[in-house]
Amino acid sequence: MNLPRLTGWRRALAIILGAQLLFWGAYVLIVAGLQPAGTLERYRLPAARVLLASEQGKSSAFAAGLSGPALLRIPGWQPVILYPARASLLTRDEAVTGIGWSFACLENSCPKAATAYAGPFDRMNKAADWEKFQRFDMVWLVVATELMMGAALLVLLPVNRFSRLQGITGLLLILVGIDAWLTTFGAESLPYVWFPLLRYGTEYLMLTMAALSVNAFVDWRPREAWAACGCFIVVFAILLGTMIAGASFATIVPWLDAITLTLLLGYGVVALLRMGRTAPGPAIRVLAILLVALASIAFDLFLLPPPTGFALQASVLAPPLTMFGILFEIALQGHRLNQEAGEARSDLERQVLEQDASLLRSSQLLRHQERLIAIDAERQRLLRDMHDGVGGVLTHLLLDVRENRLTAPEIELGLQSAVDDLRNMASAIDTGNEPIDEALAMFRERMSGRLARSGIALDYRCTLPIPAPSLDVRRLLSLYRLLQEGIANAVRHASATRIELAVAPSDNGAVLITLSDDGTGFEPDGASGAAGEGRGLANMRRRAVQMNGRLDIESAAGRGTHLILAIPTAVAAGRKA
Amino acid sequence: MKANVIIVEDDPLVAAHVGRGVEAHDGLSLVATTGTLAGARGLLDRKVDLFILDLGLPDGSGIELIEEIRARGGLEPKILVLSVLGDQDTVLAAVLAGADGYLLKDIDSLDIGQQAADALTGGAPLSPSIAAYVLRHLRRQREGPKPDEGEALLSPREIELLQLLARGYSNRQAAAELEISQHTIGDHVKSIYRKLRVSNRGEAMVRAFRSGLLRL
Repeated sequence: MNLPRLTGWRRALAIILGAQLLFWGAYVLIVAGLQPAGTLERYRLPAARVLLASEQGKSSAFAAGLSGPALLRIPGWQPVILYPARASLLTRDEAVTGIGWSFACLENSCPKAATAYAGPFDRMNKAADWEKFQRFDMVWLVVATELMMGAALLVLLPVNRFSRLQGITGLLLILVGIDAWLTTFGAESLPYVWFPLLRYGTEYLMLTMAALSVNAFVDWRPREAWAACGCFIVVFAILLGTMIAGASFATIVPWLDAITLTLLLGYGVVALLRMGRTAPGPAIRVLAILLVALASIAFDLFLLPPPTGFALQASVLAPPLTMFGILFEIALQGHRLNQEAGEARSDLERQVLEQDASLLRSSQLLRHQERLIAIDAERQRLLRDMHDGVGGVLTHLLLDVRENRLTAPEIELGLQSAVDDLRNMASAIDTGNEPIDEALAMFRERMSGRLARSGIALDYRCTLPIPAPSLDVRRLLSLYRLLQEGIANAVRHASATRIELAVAPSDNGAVLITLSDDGTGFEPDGASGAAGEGRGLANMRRRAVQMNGRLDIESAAGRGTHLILAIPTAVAAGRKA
Repeated sequence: MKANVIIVEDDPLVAAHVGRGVEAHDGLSLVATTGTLAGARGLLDRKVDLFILDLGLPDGSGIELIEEIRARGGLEPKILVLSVLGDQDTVLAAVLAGADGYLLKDIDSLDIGQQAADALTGGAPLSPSIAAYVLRHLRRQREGPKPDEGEALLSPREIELLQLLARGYSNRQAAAELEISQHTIGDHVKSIYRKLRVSNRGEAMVRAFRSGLLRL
C-alpha cells in the first residue's frame, strides 16, 4: 500500500484527526465491550422500593461513588452495609417496618455523587463490577503500565546514550504512576498526618517533570528548566507552610492546581509553537496528543451525563493512551536519530572508500611506474649482458673469420661459446634467486656432455645444506661466465682430463666455489705466459668483483689449477623444497 | 628389434642433424621426418616408440601434438622435445603436457643417439634441469593462491628425490643416498611424471604456454 505523502497543514490535520480517531475508537471499543446494557435509573432508591417489593429472585443493593462503607435501611428488609464497588444481598424481614428509608456513610459524610440502588442481584453485581473496573482496576492498570514503562525507559537509557528526554520522560511516567496510586488508594493505605504533603508534593513534582519533559522535547534550555524547578520549590514551600500552619489543603489546592496547570499548559503551547518553526513534525504529534487529553476532559465535563456516570470516563483512559503516544514519539525520534547516524556513517564510509580507491589508484600508478623502471633496468642489464658475453664473442669471431684467420674447428668453438653464453643468460634469467646448488647442477648438465665427448670428465659436488642460498640474476650470470671461462682455459690451455666443480659452505656465511683441473697448471705470478690466458684471468677477476666475491687462483706447473671463489650470500630463508 | 623414431621438426638443417644422430645409433630406426603438425598427425597411427619433436611448428605448437599423443593412450611412446636453450618455460610446459625430456638442438649427433636411446630404456629419466624446473613449479604452486596443492601433489619422498636429482645426483647416487634401489628410483620418477600430468596447475601452465602467454 502506498499512501500519498501529505505535507503542510493537511499533514498536521491528518495527524491530529488520526490521534482523535485512534483514541475515541479505543474508547468506544472498551465501553462497548465492558459497559452493562441499559441504565440503572429505574433501580434508583428510594423510587425503586416499589419495584423491589415485587422482585421474585434474589435482591441486592449497591451504591455508586462510595468512598467508604455505608448503612442502608429499607422498610421490609434487613439493614445492610454497602461497600464501595460491591453489591450486597438484601434479606426480607417483615419485622422492619416504617415508611422511611435511610442511607448514611459510616466514616465520613457521603460524597455528593453517592447514589444507592436496589434491584435484582445480577444487575447490581454487574454495576458494582463496572464501577470496580473504572475506579480501581483501571487505576491499577494505569499505575502498573506507567511504572513499567518508566522503568523500561530508565533501564534502556544506556542504549540511547543517556538521552535527556528519555530519562526525564521515564521519571515523569513513574511519577504519574505514583500519583495515580496516591490519589486513589493513598488516603486509605497511608493514613498519616503528613500524607497530603506527600500526595500533593508528588503531584506538583510530576507537573514539574512534565514541564522539564516538554523542555527536553523541544530543545533543552537550562534557564527554563531552572524556572520549572523554582516553581516547584515555591509550591512545595506553600504546601509545607500550610501543613505547619495546620490549615486545610482543600482551600489552597484548587488554586495551586489551576495556577500550575495554566502555567504548564501555557509553557507547553509556547514551547510547541517555538518548536513548530524548526521541527513541525514532532510538534504536531505532541499537539495531537495534547488535544486528545483536552478532548477527553471536555467530553467528561460536558457530554457525559454526571448523574448516571456509568459510561467510562474518557479522562481515565486518556493517560495510558497518551503515554503510549509519547512512547511512540520517543521511539520515532530514536529511529530518526539512528537513521541520521546511519546516514552519517555511510557518508563517512563512502568518503573512506573513495579515499581508499584513490590511494589504490595512486599506488597502482606507483607500482606501474616502478615496474616500468624495473623493466627498463632489466632491459639495460640484458643489453649490457649481451655486450659483455655473446656480443663480444660473435664480434671477435666475425672479425677473425673476415680476415681468414680461423680454421673450421676454431669457428665452431667460437660459435659454441656464443651459444653457451646465450644458454647461460637464459638459465640465469630462469634460475636467479633459486638455490645455487640447482643452478650449478644445470650448468654442469649443459657442459658435461660436450666435455665428455672431448674426453674430459666434469664432476660436480655440492655440500651446501638444503635449502641452499641463492644468487640474483646478475651475480648468477657472472658466476656462469666465470666458470665457463675457467673451463675453457682448462680445456684449451691446460690439457686437463678431469675438472671438478665443488660448492661448499664457508665459515662466514659465504659460499666457496672451487673449480679444479688436473691440467698443466701455470705460475700465477707470471701469468703473462700466453696473452689469451692473461686476458682470461683478468676477465675472471672482473666477474668475481661484479659478484662482490673474491677469486683466489692457486696453480703451479704440473699441479693443475684451482680457482677458489668466495661469494657472500644471503641465505634464502623459508625455502623448503 | 630397433625402436621406431619419428622426427617432427620444420627446420630441415636441424631435422637432418637429428636424423643423422638417430640413424647412427644401432638401436634406433628413423621411420619418418615431418615438418608440420598435420604431417605428424598423419603418422600417429604408425607403431612409434619415440617422437623427437620441435615445439614451434609452422601450423601449431608441438605441445598440442604431445597432448594428442598422450590422449591416445595405448603403447605410450616416449617423447623428447627439441629446444635451442633448454629454458625453463619450454621444458616445463613440454614435461607437464607429457614429454619425457628434451634435447638441445646443437648437441653432437652421437649424443643425440645416446640420449634418445637412454630415454627409451628409461636409463636417465630425469635430468637435473628438469628436476629443478619441476621443483620450481611446485614452489610457485605453494606460494600461489592454493598453497596446499603443491604439497599434496608429490609425496615427501618424491620431493626429496627431486632435490637430489636437481643437485646433479645420478640415479645411482640418489639411490644410495635414499637407501633404495635404482629400480625404485625409476618408479618414483614415473609417479612424479604421472602426478604432474594430471594436476590442474600443470594443465593451466600448458594452456598458458600454448596460448602464447609464455615465450617459446
